[in-house]
Amino acid sequence: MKILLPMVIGVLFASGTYLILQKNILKLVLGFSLLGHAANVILITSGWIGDGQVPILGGDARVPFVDPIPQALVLTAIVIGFAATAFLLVLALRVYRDFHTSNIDEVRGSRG
Amino acid sequence: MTILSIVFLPFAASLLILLLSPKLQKLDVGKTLGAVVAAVPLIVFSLIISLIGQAAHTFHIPWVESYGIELSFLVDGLSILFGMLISGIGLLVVIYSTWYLSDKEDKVKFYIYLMMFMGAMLGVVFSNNLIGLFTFWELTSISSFLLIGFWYHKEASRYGAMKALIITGFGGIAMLAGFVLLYAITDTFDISKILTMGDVIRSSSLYVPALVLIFLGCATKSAQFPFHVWLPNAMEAPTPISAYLHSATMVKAGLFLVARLSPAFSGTAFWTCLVAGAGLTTMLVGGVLAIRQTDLKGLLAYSTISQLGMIMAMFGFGTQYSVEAAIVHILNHASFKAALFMVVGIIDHGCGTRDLKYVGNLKKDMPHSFKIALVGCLSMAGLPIFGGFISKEMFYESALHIPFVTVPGLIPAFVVFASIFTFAYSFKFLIWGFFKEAPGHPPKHAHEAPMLGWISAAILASIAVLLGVAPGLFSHSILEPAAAAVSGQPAHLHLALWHGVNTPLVMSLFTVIPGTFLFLRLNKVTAFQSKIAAKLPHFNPNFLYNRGFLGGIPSVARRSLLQIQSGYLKRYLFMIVSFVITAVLLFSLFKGWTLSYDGLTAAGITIPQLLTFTLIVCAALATIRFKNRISAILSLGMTGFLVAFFYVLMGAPDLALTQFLVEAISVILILLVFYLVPPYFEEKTHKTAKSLDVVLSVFVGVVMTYYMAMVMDSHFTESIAHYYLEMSEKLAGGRNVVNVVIVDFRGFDTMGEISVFSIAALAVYAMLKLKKKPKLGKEGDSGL
Repeated sequence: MKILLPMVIGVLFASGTYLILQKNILKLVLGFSLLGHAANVILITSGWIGDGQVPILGGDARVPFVDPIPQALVLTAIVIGFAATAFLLVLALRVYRDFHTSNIDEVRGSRG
Repeated sequence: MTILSIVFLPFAASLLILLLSPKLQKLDVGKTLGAVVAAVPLIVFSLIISLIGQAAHTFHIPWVESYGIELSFLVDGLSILFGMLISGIGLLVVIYSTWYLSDKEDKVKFYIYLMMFMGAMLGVVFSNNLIGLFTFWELTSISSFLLIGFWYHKEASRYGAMKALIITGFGGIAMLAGFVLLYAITDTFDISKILTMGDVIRSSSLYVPALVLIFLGCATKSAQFPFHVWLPNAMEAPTPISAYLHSATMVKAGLFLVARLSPAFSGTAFWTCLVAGAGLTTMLVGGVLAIRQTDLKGLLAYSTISQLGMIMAMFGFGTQYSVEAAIVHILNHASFKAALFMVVGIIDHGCGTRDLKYVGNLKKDMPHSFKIALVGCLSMAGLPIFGGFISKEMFYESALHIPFVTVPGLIPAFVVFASIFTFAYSFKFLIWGFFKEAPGHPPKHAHEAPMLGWISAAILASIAVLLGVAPGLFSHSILEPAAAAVSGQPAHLHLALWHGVNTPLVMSLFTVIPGTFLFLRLNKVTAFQSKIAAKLPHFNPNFLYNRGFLGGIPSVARRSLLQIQSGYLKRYLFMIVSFVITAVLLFSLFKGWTLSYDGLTAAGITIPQLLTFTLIVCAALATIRFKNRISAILSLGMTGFLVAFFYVLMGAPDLALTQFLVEAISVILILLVFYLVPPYFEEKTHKTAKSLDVVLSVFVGVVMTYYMAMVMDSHFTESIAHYYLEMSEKLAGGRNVVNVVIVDFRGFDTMGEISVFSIAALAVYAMLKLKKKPKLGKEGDSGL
């Protein structure tokens, strides 16, 4: 698992990066979303301790808990990530409405 | 308090004229404004006179105390001498300008700049704090830029102003770096303290770099070779400005700083080599170039360069006597050079040109100017009975006794050789301008200026005579304290015209005879010079400035700007991602982490884990592979749901829940929006570009994998989680620690999150609802 998880994260980062380098503005949105997942997974992974227990008190006291702090951070991050996705989407829509293209290279130099 | 009024009165005047300018522009101010403005240098001059005789003292107003930066002024012989020159000649220049500027000129602007410049110069010479001095120094650069470019409708004026600003500005930056090094050595910016720490400074390892950097500032300001190129172009300024900037002020600022810091830096072989070397070279180059000028103002420009070099050399010699000589010559040069500049302005006005090809034999038409020029030129040539003779003899005498120079007779021979040119160009000005008939005819019939025009120059010329026949008038009260401030020892000047037959007198003889010979053969010599100049067009610092600086830097800037600010989002992202990922890679490499194979493969893997991982990888790859946008969106949603499942496996049920909800909404939202935009278009990306994308993406993936493997394999600091786990129930009464952290322990984070969300919602609403303004964008300056 320890060797596989970094690879999964690597794939998420690679695909996200590839998507944001494209010209289609919608692919950009998808790319940023993927990168968001990748970042969240990194945070959660850093709190991972093998067979930990869910950080809800009242269970078996001998089993160690999973670190709750990255979870709290990621919870915030997921919601903010959603806000960012929504914002980017509407931005994409607006760009298409105003410039009649979803190719960001064509938006360059236009004065709407 | 006196000192504050001295420095800030001109600034206040400048500001006042600026504030009143709308009214003044409407009123026909004529010569009245000049008369009113003249009161400022007059008051300042009287205030400075009142300081004479006081012991050296400082005046502080704290500013940024923690960095040792304060508004601090030092009143001593040197600052008083320079202050008198600045305000005294400033007064005469203002009087002269009332005649010189016709009513069509923007006098309001002229006096605003002039007063600002005067204040800045006074600030430089009275500053006792290096940072304060630097601030005033840069102010002189800026205000001189405005003054030189006063006739900004002329191409040459703009070029000259720009050149002066760029060259002196460059020197200023170097000087600031030097000041910082000086601070590193002495731990203070206070000049009066620094001056007492000469031994510490000279023995420091930073001595040479600090001196070189500060001297760069002085050399650019004082037009030392090869930075002298800005000065001739600065002649595009109105003549009162040239008279002011190039006799007593701007170009003397560099000399002033060399003099000011002499006690701290001088007395080493390196100092003599650098300062005297630069000075002597400049003296010769300026003289050689001056004799071939036919424009009288150009001749004075190069002669100024030469004279500045001469004074610089005297400071460089670093002996008590040479410093005294330099101080005496500063006063002499200021008087005769300002007078000569003013005469050129009169000639320019009276004849419509100042080129010796068209003007000549002005002796009868301009009797007053002739007398002034006679005094000025003879003083400049170093002939008795004028001040210039005394300081030139002192220069020769000091050249005979220079420390650190082992070749006997080398320096005396050199200074005599360079002075031959001084003699020749002084006589060229005088004889060609006032006795010899010019080959061409001036556009206007030559006529003398009214008294208002020549009175300032006449006063200066009388000072030049006084300096020769009665030098004792100035020596005790003004010159001796100034020389003492520079050398650090009490100075006793015995200025007199006749010292008997001694070596300097013989050297003078060796100057005058070849000088006369050179003057008589001037046409042949200048023809020869032109031939050389034509053969070597690139052998010239001007070429370097024009081609390398004006041509090179903007084109490099333009090219790199076009690369960096291309307007292609992709390129920006490419650069940002490359930079970040390289930083991550370097960080992980230099952290000294090592991967252990055993550690990485130690923990086993369960079937659900393996399945989730595999599916996440497949879904992520599918997102980029699908050509159909619906499939791509669904793959993204798939990835999100699988990540939620991954959270379940990692013991984070709250995250999984949130992720499920958010992902569901996201997919619906994206599908809705995608319905409104056209299908994917065929991206016509160049193959190389495409492979670059792939390479960067794979690189990012590999680095992040490596980084994450390192992170997982290492044990960092103890987590602070135990605090939350312990206190969750005790303090917050909740068992779900993650929830308690979010709403309780770190409630502000959640509030921030809600704010972000609201802002995003507002932005979304605005983008959907706001109508495009039809005109916006046409005038919009952003083309990207």
